[in-house]
Parts: sequence; structure tokens; C-alpha cells
Amino acid sequence: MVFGYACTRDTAPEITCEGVATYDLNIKMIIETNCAYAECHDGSISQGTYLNYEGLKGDLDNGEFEARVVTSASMPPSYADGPTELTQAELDLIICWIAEGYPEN
Amino acid sequence: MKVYVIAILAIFLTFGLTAQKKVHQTFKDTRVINSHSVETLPKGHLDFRVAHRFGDLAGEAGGWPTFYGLETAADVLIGFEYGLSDNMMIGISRTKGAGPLNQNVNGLWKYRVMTQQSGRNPFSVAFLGVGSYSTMQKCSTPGLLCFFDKPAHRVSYHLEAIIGSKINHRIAVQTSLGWTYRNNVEFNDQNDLPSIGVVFKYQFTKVFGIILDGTLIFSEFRQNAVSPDGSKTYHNPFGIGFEWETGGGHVFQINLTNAKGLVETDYIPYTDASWADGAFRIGFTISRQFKL
Repeated sequence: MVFGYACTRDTAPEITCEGVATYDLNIKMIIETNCAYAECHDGSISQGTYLNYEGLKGDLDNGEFEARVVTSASMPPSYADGPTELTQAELDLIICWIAEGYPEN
Repeated sequence: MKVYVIAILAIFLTFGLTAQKKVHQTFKDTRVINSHSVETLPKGHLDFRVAHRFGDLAGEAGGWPTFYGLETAADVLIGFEYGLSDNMMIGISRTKGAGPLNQNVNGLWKYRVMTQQSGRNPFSVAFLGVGSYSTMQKCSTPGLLCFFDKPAHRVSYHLEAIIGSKINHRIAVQTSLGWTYRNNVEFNDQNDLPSIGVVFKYQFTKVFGIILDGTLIFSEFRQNAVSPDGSKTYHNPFGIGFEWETGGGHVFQINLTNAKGLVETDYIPYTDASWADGAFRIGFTISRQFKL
């Protein structure tokens, strides 16, 4: 209508994952590099201490982690001292890991 | 009971006895909080508009560390709108986007087909059309909305019929029927989203008013979707706002709402924050009108 595109009526496929990612094997390193470093999610701020699986689990359970990291991609933020965005491969791993119930090991 | 009957009769008599006269400013702005109002821009007026939704005021992500959400913007809108006639306006805006589709360019068209007139029409009626196009980068995960395997998947629409009435110089009410359509949705989600909007305004003084704005979305998927901890994923957007007219065509509105997005195609499908969790945010809008 406004932009001259035809309408479609599509539904995205279910996200499928080959092999299951685990916190210990794949996710821990991504979190340490992108989130749990000095002055951020290492206990310096009140919004989540992601130094271990237990710390991360609360925000996974309430959907906050997925909402910020995957849905709105607002974390890591543009003002971060570390990386300001995840690579597609990192994001893919996180999406699969959450889809499979975020196992620890 | 008697009192109510007398009050209702009095309202009808007031409508009946007064001369036919256009009712102005049912709302001070073309927006209420999240929703559009029945108002349109006057002919030849260009409105430069900047709106913000900040981060959570309270709850887990709010409080002092983020200065009550003011340091974490959920969405920002910058746009221009123009009155083609006294009853028809068009607009274009860019929003950051709070849902899965970001960096949106939004077009809008609003046409008021009936204006409230004392002694004749008890309400105003307007139609709204919104189209949003996401300019975000394509991602490589099939299943995510940003995969964009067709260009049309970047587009979503919203159509709405709005009926509003200024009951008296203090009270205004509005209701609307909306239909939001997304060309592509996540697995199990639905393309069509019907909704009903309800608005109430109370004007304390000539320049200061308080407003309530809620949207009820009819979506089985949204009713049933839950986060891993069992809490509801999606919520109906609701806002409470305070509005000042500061003179010279300048309206300042500050509000609290659980909606993160600023445009119908964003806040209707993707409001995932709950008032009950303290996940509401401060928003404000500054609009400046230029007469061309």
C-alpha cells in the first residue's frame, strides 16, 4: 500500500537447530566476551550478574534475556565498552540454545 | 438513579438547544499516548514531532542504575506530518523500533470524515492508515523475522476507525477499531491482529489534562504465549499521560506506558512488558507546528 509492496501472508518456519548448544560448551564464552566483563554484567550493575549459569538463568526464565538479546537486539548496547553487537554465528547459537531449553551441559 | 436520568436528559437537551457549532480540540494532539486521536492537523500546518519511550522505570531493568530507564531508550520517533486539508493529514517518520523489526520508516494517512458539532453530530469520526517498512539488515537465521526471504516481509500495516467525543469542556472519550496486518510473522503467530482502543481524557485546566489510553488486542497466540518461567509473554498496551499546552502550537506530553514501540505496527504486536512487573516507562512527545 504505502510502499508499493504486494501483501504476503507468510509465517516464518520454526527455528531448527542442528546439534544442541550448551552453556558450558558454547554459551559461556560468548557471555564472558560480550556481557560479563568489568563494569557490566559481572556484578557491577544490578541488572543481572552473568558470571555463571545460575546468574543467567533468572533472566532466561523470565524471558528478559531473549527479549533484549534476540528480539530487540538492544544488548549488548551501542555504548558498551566491549563488543557492541553479537556476530550472527553467536546469535544463532544463542537462539538455538534458548529454543532447546538453555541446557547447562 | 433519578440523578443519572436528569443528567442524561440535560446532556441531550444541551445538544438540542445549542446552535450547531464545530467542536474543537477533543484532544490537544493528533496522538493520545500510544494511539492516534480523532484530531488531524489544520490545513497547511507542518508538524515536526519527536517522541521517546525510555527504558523500564522500575522492575529488574529500571531504578537508579539506569536512572529509572532514562538512560535506556526503548524507541525514538522523528517525523514530519502535514495537513493537506483541515480533515486530512499525511506523515512520515523514522522509528528505532522496539520489536523484532527495527529501523522502520513509517507512513501515515488520516482522514476525519465527520466532525463533532454541538446540536448535530455528537462525535467525530476518523480513519487512519499506517504502513511500516523495516530497513534493518537482513539476518541469516531462518525463523527470525529479519531473515527477509521476500522484500514484502519488511512491511506491515495498520488500519483503524476512530470515534471520539468531547462530552463537555473537561471530559473527552474515544474508541477505535483497529486491524494490524503483518506480511510475515514468527512461527505460530498470526498475520491479522484485530484490536479495540479506548481513551479517556479529563481536562483539569485550559492547558493541563490527564489521559488514559488502552488497546485490547484479540489474539489467541498472545493470550497463550508464555515465557519459560510461565509468565505471559505479551501484554495489552496501556498508558497514562499528562498533557500541557505551552502556547504557540507547542504541546508537551509526558506519559507512563508499558508499550515500548511508538507506532501501531510495533506496539500492538510486540508489547511484551507488564505494568505488574514495574516494566513501564516514561515517554514524552514534543511536537512543533509550522504554518506553511
